[in-house]
Amino acid sequence: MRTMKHIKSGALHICLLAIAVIQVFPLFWLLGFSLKDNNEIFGGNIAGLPQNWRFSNYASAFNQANVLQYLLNSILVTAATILITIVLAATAAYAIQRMIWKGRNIAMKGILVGMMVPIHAVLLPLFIVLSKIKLLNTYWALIIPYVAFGLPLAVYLFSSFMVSIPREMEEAAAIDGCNIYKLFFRVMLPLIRPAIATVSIFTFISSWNELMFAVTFINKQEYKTLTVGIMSMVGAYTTKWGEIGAGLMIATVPTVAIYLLLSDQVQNSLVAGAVKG
Amino acid sequence: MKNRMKKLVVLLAATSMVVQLAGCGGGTGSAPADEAKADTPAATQETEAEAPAKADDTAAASEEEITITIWHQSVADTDPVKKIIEESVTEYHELHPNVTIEQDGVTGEQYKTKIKTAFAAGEAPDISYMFSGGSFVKPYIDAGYLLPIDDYLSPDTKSKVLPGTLDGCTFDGKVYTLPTITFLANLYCNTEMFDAAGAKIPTNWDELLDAVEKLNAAGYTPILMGEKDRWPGMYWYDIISARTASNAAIMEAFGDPAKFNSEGFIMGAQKLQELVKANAFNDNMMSMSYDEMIEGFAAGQGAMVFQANWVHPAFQADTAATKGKVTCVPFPVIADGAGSITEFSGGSSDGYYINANCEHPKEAVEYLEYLSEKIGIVGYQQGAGLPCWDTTGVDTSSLTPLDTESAALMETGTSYISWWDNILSAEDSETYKDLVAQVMALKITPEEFAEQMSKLQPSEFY
Amino acid sequence: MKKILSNKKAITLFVCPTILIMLVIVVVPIFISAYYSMLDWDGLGKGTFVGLRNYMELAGDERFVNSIKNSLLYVFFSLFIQLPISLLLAIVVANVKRGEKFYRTTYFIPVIISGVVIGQLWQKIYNGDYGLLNALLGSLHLEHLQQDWLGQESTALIAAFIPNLWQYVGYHMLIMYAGIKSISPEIYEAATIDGANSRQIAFKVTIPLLKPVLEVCVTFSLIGALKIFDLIYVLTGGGPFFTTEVPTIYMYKTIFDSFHYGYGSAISIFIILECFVFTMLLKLFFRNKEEQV
Repeated sequence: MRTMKHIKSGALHICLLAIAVIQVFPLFWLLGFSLKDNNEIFGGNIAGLPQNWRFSNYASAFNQANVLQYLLNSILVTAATILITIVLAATAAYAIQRMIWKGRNIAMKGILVGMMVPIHAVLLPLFIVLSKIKLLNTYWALIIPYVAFGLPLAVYLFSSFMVSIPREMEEAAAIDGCNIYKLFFRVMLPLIRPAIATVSIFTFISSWNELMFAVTFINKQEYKTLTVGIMSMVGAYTTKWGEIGAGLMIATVPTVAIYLLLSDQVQNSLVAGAVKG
Repeated sequence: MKNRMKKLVVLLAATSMVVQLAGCGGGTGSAPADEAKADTPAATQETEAEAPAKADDTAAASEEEITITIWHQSVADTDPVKKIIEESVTEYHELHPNVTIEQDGVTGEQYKTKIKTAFAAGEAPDISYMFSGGSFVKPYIDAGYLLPIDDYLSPDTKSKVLPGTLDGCTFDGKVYTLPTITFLANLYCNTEMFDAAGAKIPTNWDELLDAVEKLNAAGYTPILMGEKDRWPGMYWYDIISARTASNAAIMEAFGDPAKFNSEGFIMGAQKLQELVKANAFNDNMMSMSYDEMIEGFAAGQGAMVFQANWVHPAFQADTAATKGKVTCVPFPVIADGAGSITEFSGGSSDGYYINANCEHPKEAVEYLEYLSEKIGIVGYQQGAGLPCWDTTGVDTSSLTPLDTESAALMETGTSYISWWDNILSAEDSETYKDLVAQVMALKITPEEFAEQMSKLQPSEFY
Repeated sequence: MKKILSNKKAITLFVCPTILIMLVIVVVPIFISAYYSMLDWDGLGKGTFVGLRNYMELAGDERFVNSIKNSLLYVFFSLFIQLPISLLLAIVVANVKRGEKFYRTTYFIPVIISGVVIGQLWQKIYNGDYGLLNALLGSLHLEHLQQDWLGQESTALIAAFIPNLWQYVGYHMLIMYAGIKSISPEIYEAATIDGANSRQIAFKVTIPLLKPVLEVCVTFSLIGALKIFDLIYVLTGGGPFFTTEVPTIYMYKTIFDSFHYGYGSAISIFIILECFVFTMLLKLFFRNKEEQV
């Protein structure tokens, strides 16, 4: 009976490990890809190690994609997006989830509609709106749309997390004479910290990798982001794919690092927030 | 060299077409154009008498600081034009200290999306790249977004552009841009594989079929085809029909698509299917992209590919397995066909167009003249394409053997037709490419293909 | 308390920025798109107002109907294959004795990798010539199964779906895992004392308690499936012969390749309405279920 159990658990772990390998494989594949030349990439050496380790791909990517400047822009845009999304979504979620007013449900539904919009369709209208409010070719041309399209999920996550937080804390604070702002900033905000991590990582993923808006709304070198820089290595008729791989690797490392850094918090928040879903 | 230039002139005169002839019909085109003019009096409204006066005004104010924006799709290091544009920005500023050029670019799909959105929203740059003239740029001209530059062009420039090449830049009788470099499609053969298979570089259809058989027998993929992107297959039908029906018949059919439903075009589709049935193409052609086709050829996965001369950098790269082992030849003749070996596919020129709302049209045109010539000559020297400018006395020692070969081929040409998706409207181009894909997948018969083609709209250019 | 929570000024301050930004960036463009959808317009010149004609044409457009069929098939795969796999993994990982953190972390990795990378990778996996999948089949002596996965009509659609399904398995798994972990351990203890085995626990305890979380996953998955674009566009571009075309790809091609901006906008409005209707139906479905329970 005991050995039976051991075998079963061993088999289970082998399965789980195999899945883990599959899930992490893209990272290793990308690393190999980024060190090859076109001849290897298109010559059939897909998963194998490079025959000729071309570290020069990284050097070219750094020069061509203007990596340092674009990386800074990406960091700036993404950081601002995350910050603004968190502030707006947390306050809105609090108002919708905790406070008492008519139209809460409609507001929530309205915000969720934002998830349903196919972005290619709103490209031109959004471009016109941004040009009317004179935001094209600024960081805001990216930050504001990223915030807007990140808000639905963020509000959703925050409000489901807040449901799980007992009201007693706020009630006690209210009795102590806290006003609504103190209730939110002093009581609620610290309690939803894990959810902030979750919102951060989801917002990070979507704005860090975004290409369509970044290409269309920015024409000035000084505001371009890393994804645009990487795409600029795609030639009209010939492309050095290994260098693109190097660029993608440079862009992926921060993502993985941030995810690993925040992943505990993310999971904690999802656990806590999942009571109601 | 001189001879080559003359050929080129014929080439561009022929391809570029005819826009003037079609111009009269463009009733819908002229109305919005007039509206745009109303918005931009400075740009277009002056009569010929006023033009010189206007020029003087701007000359007096030439010390004013001016910024001119240009969008293009030459952003990758693999594109020689990238460097040319970047250098032009600094050089031009040194030559004209009051003019600052701001350039921005992205390639392919993203460029199309970006440029279209920007024009539709009225935020387009002063100068924008347009894919080799023809039907891509036509809607922009019809909408009145682009500026005719006749009044601004200096006679000097006109004399340096190869005679006839301006025709491709002319729509409805007005010049909109200057030519730069041009591209021609040829059959590229991997000589190493041909030797190993004991096959002969084909000059006619039977030799092509023979080569296909020998290459297959020797275990090589005879022809690489990236039909996922659909335009590589289009190039094949473009050239095969030039052999079976002749360029003259193609031009007629563009003007009257009913003529597509005729023997020459049916035979073209039959020939294409003949190749498919002979296993000439890679099995995975329907999922192979253009990139995979070009890089696959460069990595030695196939013996032939039919493409334009912009593939040279890939085939001659230091890392390419094909370096020094590629030759380019004209597409084989077809015995019963009406076309000859001197009829070519290609020949139109990429160009940069000026926004009708540009605030400094005079300066923009001056830069355009400067840039177009630079791309025409330096781009040619660096193997980006074949020149549309007078290159007498230009050093051509930097040309690679492939560049020289394809330039020599051009000398032999008597007739040229641009890629059909430059000539057909956007919608018809999609239909045509889909039909060719269906022919190649043996989903429709040559007769059905011709029947469907006859339902296209007449082209505005023929 | 109630008074504090009804502070009108605070509510305005908390909600308005979000509402405003959503209005300007999302709602206004939707309305502009809705207007475009009633034009016959190439996106450049002047459009002509044609009322609902574009929508009427959509109804009879075979290519459009086919693209909807494809996306509904993808919805089906998402809901009945992807989500069950996510759920299974979530339950197993939540109950595994060792390596729990390792598994839940690694399983999420594909979600954070850029779609460009995933697209390139799967193109190499499927490559009919030297692809990994065919190589694998070759090494298993299953040469007769080797094929051009993305290039032939019989397999392209499923082949294009799989990478999408795979990439987001970890996403839903993580949400479900969190839901499972938040179920009080006492409930499990009680079930174990009653003699339930792990399968019974899963079906009788975990899944019913997970219903709210499942509703979230189903909703996200549904909306995501109806809007699916990037990976399919990279892998097949909608081909061969439209077999893998979904409404978003058809919309993109209509607007930017064929220059029918009005018609393309009609497709986009359709997609938004479709998402909305399906979400409402889901709500009703889950509500009914709750009442039955």
